[in-house]
Amino acid sequence: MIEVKEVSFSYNGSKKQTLSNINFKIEDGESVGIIGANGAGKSTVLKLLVGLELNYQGNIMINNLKVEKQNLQEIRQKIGYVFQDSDSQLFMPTVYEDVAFAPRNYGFSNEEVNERTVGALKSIGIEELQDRQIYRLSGGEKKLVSIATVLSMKPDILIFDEPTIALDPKNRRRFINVLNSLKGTKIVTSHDLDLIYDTCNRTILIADGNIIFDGDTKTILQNKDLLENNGLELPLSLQRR
Amino acid sequence: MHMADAMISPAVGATMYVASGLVAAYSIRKIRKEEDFKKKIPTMGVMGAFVFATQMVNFTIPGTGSSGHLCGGLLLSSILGPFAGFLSMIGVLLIQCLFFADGGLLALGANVWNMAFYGCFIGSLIWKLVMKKGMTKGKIILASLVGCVLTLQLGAFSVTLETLASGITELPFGTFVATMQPIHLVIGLIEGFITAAVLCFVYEARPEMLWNGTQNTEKQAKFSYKKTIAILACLLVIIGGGISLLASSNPDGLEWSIEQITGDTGVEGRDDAAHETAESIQSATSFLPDYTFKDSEATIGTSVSGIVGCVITVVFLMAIGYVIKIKRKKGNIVNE
Amino acid sequence: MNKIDNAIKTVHHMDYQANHNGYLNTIHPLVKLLITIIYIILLTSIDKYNLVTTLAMSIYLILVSMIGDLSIKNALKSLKVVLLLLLILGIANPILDRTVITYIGIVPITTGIISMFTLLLKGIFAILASYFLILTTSIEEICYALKMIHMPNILITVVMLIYRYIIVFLKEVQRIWVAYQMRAPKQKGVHYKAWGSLIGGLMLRSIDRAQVVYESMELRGFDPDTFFIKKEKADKKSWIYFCLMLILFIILRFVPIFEIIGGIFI
Repeated sequence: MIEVKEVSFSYNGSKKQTLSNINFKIEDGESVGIIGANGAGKSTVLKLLVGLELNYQGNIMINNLKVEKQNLQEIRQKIGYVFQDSDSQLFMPTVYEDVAFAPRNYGFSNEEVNERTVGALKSIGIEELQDRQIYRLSGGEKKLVSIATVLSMKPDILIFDEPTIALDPKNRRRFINVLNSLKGTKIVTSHDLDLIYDTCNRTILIADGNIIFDGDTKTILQNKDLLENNGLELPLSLQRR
Repeated sequence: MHMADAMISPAVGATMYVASGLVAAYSIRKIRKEEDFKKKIPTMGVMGAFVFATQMVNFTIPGTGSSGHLCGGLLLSSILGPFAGFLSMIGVLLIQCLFFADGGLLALGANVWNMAFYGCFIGSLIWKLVMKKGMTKGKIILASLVGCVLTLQLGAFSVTLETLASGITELPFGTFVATMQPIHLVIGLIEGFITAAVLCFVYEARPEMLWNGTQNTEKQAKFSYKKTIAILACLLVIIGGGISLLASSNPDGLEWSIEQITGDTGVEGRDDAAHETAESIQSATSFLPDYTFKDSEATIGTSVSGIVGCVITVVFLMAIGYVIKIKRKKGNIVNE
Repeated sequence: MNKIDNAIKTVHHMDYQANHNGYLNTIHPLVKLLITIIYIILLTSIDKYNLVTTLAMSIYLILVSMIGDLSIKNALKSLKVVLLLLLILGIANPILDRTVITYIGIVPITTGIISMFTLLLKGIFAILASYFLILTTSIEEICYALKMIHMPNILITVVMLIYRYIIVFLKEVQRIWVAYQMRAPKQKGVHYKAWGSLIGGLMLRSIDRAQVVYESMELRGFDPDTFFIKKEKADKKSWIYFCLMLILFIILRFVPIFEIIGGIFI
């Protein structure tokens, strides 16, 4: 369970508040989309959840643990964070080594590491990529491997930052299928509202560091005025042609 | 300039490995003490790759048709500080020697010393001195120029010394130095200008990225510099000792060139203890005395037959290899 | 810029070869690394006038290229630069060291000529030896071998990261260069006015990338003291290979085997 209570945040040295007094609660197993224009504060919310930024005011609880320095290791083991840029997320030379990175660092035995690695790759159907060099993968494959690298931690919560940004339609469809097949709490940020429509039943709209809307995905994605006021457009699948 | 394996004797190579290894070990210790040490590691890797890639870019030199390149030691340490910069350069040099035949496994220690050590440590020492009272664009240009020229001069001089101590060329010391230094002066100037241009851009865009010579706690940094210099001095003594030892075992190396210049043969000096030790080391390392062309008329006969034998064996082996290859190909066709 | 294309091609080629399933690929990386280092040390320690032993050392290279079915075609490109360098150094030898030892026809053979050839051969052989190592061993395996000889984790991690991001950056530089050249078709290199912004911009981007890489590592529990590569200890086969090669080296380096063979024919 994720609980964000009266959270405000501004980056080091910046006077502007990136987030001001944010409140929301995400129950186990929910799929939540976070949408908003560039610079609205979506990525900042995600960074706060995993403790990449710690100097916030208010209270953030993950599975009843406050996000602060001494709890970080425990919290991060529970959260899988898939970055926007796969090339930055995947830093080991081969697929296997990258997927095995997290379980190794969390100190599992060699057998356990291997079992988790192969398991993660299998669960999204890419075990044939195991021995490939990362730089030889296509954009779509990289995205799937990125997911596997966090699945090997067996996290309760999955976070995706702009996941479909560099994917072609076919890979995007494959990604959505994989995403929908995954269990656990899911948080997705995107400008791709069709993606949100296909994967999340709840959506939070952020603008200028404030939550403008929090509720049913269908409701907000049909609200043309609200979306357009916030730099977004109706999803294609809902536009009347 | 990357030294190739053939330019260096194992003894000189090993000496340089020890010297570079000590500096690396010390740098790792220093890095570990830094507050954002974990963050430094990925930065070192990514910036190393960046330097590697930018070394491939040609820069047109105004007024001439030719082009210059970036070397990167000073650039790296102006962002990362000397210790992280040095470690990052080691990574770059290792990969260059393995994948691109720039340098070699044996010469790696020497190359790290000649390029990474001077570039990062001497370079950042100059950087720190110039930036003492705050950073300006002019100071960045000054530090880049002085830093690049000086570190490249030191590097080139070391290449000369190492090559001569290895005794692989008949080139006299004077001629060698007289060719190496001016070439590297030009290279250093160009590199200095490129480095300055890049750093000025960074200074305007994101000045907080540049290393200001203080890092985390100022006291520690000051203290560490004294230590660094002390270690440097020790290392120079070790290396100096190593090289002179080698030189004495290698009459046609350094000593020979010094002899050329001074006209003094220094024959008396050759009976001293250092020479004897070197001699005994040499005779211990070569299990059988080398039979060479130079020794006497008698060995010429065996040498000629040796060459003949060698040619016969090589041809024989290549013929076998050729047959195997044809068979393999045939096998593949059958399999398909 | 050709250099960038070549570098990308080289990395691709090496990687392809190293992950290829040849016989030498199954030998333990530590064994291959040690053999290569020993070879280079034995090679470079040969006396500068000892052409025969230097030539004899080529037998190892021929054997390895046969066992591993390796081609030296790609190595030749990188050889050019080194050969030029060694030639500049070596050319002084025939000029300054002119003791005539024998004649072939009327051409005098001097000690200087011998030592120049020895130098060139050493240069070629040393490069080929490390080239064969990297052709049959992937970077992870080399890092594992370095770990076994106690290279610190920090350095190994840095090496692996550099290797991982070389291609990413080379491709980025390639794109930048194409974009630059399309608007400045007659320039062979980057104009001095663009030096700072072109490379500086790339540098800032790489610092940002480093930040994300750090975050990604951190979120997956990065611990600089654990080393992460799957690999087994050297097996029997590898050690047998090691011993055989060592024996070969000793024969080539210290036994005048070719004088003996040549003696039979002369």
